[in-house]
Amino acid sequence: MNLQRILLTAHKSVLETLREPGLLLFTLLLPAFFMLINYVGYGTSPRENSFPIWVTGTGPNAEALLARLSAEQYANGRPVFAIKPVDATLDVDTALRDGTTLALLTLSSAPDGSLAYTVRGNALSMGFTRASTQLDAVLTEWQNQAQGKPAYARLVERPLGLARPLNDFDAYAPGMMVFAILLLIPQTATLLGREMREGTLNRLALTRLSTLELFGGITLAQMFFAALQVALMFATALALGFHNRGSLGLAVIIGLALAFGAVGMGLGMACFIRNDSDALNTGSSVSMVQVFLSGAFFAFPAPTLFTLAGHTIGLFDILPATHAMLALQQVLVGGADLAQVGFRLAATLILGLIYFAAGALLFRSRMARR
Amino acid sequence: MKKTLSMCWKTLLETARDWQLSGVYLLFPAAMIAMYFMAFGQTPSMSNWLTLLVDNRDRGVLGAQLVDALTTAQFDGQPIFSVRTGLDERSGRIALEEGKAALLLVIPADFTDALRSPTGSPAELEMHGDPLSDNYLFARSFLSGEVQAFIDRQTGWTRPPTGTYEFLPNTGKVSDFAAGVPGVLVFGVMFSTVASALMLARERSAGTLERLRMSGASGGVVLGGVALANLVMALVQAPISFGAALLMGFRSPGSLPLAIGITVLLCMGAVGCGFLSACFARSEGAAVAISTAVMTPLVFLSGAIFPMPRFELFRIGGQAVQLIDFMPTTPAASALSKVLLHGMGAESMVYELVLLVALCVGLLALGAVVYQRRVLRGL
Amino acid sequence: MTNIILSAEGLSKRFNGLQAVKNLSLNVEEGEVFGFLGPNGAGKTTTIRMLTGLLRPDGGRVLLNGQVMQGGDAAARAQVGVCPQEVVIWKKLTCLEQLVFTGQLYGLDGQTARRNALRLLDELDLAEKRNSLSGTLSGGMQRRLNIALALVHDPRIVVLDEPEAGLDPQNRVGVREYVQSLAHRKTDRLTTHNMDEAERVADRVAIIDHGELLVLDTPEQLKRQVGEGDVLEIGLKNGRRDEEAAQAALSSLAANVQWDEAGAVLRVRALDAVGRLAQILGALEAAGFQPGAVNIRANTLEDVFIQLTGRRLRE
Repeated sequence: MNLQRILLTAHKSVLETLREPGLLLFTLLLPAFFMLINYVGYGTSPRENSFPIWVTGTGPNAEALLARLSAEQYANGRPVFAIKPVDATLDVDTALRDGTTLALLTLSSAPDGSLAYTVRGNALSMGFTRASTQLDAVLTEWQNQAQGKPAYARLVERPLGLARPLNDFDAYAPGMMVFAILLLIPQTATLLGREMREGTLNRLALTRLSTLELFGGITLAQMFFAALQVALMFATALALGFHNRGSLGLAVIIGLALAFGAVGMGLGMACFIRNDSDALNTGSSVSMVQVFLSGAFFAFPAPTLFTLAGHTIGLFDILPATHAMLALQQVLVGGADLAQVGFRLAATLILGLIYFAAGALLFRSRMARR
Repeated sequence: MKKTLSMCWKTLLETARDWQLSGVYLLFPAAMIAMYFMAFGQTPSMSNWLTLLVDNRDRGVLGAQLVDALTTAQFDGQPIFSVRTGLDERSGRIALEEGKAALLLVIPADFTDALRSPTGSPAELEMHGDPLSDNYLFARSFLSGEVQAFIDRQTGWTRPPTGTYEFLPNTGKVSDFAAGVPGVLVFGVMFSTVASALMLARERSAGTLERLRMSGASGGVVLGGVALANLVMALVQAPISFGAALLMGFRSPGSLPLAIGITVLLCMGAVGCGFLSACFARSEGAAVAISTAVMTPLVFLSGAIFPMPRFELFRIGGQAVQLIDFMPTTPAASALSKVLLHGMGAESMVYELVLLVALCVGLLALGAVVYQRRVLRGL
Repeated sequence: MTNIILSAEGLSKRFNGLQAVKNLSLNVEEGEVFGFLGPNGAGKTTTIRMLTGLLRPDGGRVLLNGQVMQGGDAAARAQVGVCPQEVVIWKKLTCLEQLVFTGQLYGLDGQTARRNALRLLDELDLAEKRNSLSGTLSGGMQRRLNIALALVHDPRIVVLDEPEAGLDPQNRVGVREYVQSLAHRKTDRLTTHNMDEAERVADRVAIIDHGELLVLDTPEQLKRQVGEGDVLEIGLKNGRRDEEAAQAALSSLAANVQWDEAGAVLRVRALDAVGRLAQILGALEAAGFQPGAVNIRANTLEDVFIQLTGRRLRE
């Protein structure tokens, strides 16, 4: 390995990228644009929102129950439910389906004279699931009291004490960041794809440049641009009101570690392509699939394989993005420190290195076979 | 028309001969469904993602019995929880913080005593977790029912609850896998935006666009041909996607042909977006970057992946109209959900279908006009 | 005794079941200009890629200075400069940037790489364009840059694969003169130049077809194999085609008589054809032929090539 050749390759790669300023600007701004999309969609939805509940019918002590429900509050004083009495003839099902209301609470009298209730909802709606869980806790307690049931034991909540997202924008931001950074996979594979199409890869193969040096140079160049991307992305998120709970520096480091992993994967991808067009097409699909597998959009269940240093390792932990997603979420949303995310950060870096090395080996043997 | 058909045939031949492009185009939605199935569909139970950590500190025997009861607890004949005991405090906390476990239940030392001597103060079972996490909420909901039932059995309480739950038709028994299929399909199909932008950009970067222009082909002919080719591919893609879903056990209460039709329409919308992206791209790299930027908000703001907050503009004849309805993905996601999950017919989704058709045609036409002006005349 | 600098021993390569190169052996001697000819698809490029270490042979080996060239032997590869048939340049780098970059990757220090680059740009008439992006250059300029990239690290062996392809006459002459000037330097060349060039500058010429080496000798020896002397191409007015009659009429005057494929031109090979032209035409007329336009030219390597590889068009 020769550092000078790595630097030369990096310099050449940076120059080539700089010479397409339009595309470069677009690529640099894309992650920031993703933050904007997230803000436009979810910037105003509080995480602890008041679930709209429609109520119809009546029964013994119905008013007291409704008062009890209306009084239910989150820790920040925000009401848990927005109770709205409605006419029974209303087209409730349409409202439940389109989310105008999350649940219909129908009150009536039970044969024993107590208050009976029915909760109707759209079982496919996450909103209903959340609302009904909260509703159930209050209603069960109400019912137990009404029926005079002795309290032998009770469930009490012990929140972890971590900072939590204040709105959906906060909650989805780490995932969108992972999504944006994973786009480095096709972007990196494209660099090698172009060298293949133009034939310049053969020219490089004629020189003293080794595969590791070539990969090293491209990685260095890509990391330079990735640093700009990540910085712009974080700056945009903060400017749009993202509530950062942890160390921004640590989050940037995690972002860069993931960028390294993505670059490594992009280089590995190059073993399976013939030109930049393939790289863009196949590389994009690989990054999209990983966005899901890493849990960037929603927790993606995976069979647990084993526990390592207290950390549960699942099947998709073979991807750097899975670790980076967890670490980013914990730092940005939960305010975790390096000690808490050190394991995941290290895993991101190590996996990145493994993909980088595997890519280099595969690429070298493929070039030798050509 | 003949020119358009020739262009279509040429595009089909080229795409078919490029197995990476045609493979991704035709199989991506099916692959997304397979991936989703891998995570949510292997078992119909929730136990593969509702991991319950239990720290049983009970001095008596009932704590252990409660753990057994939770381990064997079922919903719809399937286990609810994957119960893990014996985890040290640090590992337990890490699992909760990383979302690898839904909830940690601590059974107190006086649990048996409290149940056996009801005169004392009630035992406090602690639920450690993140109250804002969906998994925690699910786990808490099931747990409170199961704990209550266990205590009732132990204490001989027999009075039945007076509350019931009911769900919209067809929604009560939908598996997690099935529930995700419409959203995943929308995402998968919208990826065609990237593929179609790439197809047009290739024509430009290879210089063959110049040849097409010399032949006097208009934007309408070029894009008409490519759109037709994409329609053919969409007609192949949709059955493959649904075939994959069916193979993995997805069963729709609604009409499958209707769902296929919606998917094909959405694919044409995606193609229109791809055309528009290609109008502003000088290279293939730019085409992919622009089409990704176009595709992302269309998917994320449509409610197909995350539920969107409601923002009604106005109502027409009782139909709420939202700003996001004017993206092809929103009516498509809504219509797919209606047919595939709620089992509703075409008559109940007139608004969505009309919008979807109008948007797809509009996008394709806009793509053709802009392409003609920016690319074909600008050469 | 001549020193063999590059040697191929029994090289073979298959692609998808197709035998591209079959048991090919040849030696390139130090200081010689080696012409490497063959029709399209004959296996020239595959052989060159194996000789330059870009492609691993299925069988056989390549020796550079008597040492077996390994796939990853960068030091050995640095002794070779390759100018591929296609223009292979970095379009988003300037001429100077890519020459310096390539030179440094071959192991030159920055100063030497820059000095060599500037010299080459000057020699190839690209000095004014040294800071232009190569993608913006004309086709001819790109070709010249393509050659410069093969030379920037001062290789001992230069492989020029059809460097004149696709050039206009002005550029072709310029490139040809430059390539000829290289012969005066201490550089051995392996070239797949066109026939004219090979005949003019090559010390020895190898002709391959279907992956096999057909002949390897000096151009003069090769031409002798086809037949000594000049070639008369005589157009016949009555279009009569009777090879035996023509052969009989010219038996004492010509070494070889044949019709071209269309049957309209009689090709006669004879020593001192110019001096005997009147006799040849007279003999033909006496045999009942009606000679028309006459074209006289020297026997060329192309004749050798066509005789060995046939006239059928290749892919």
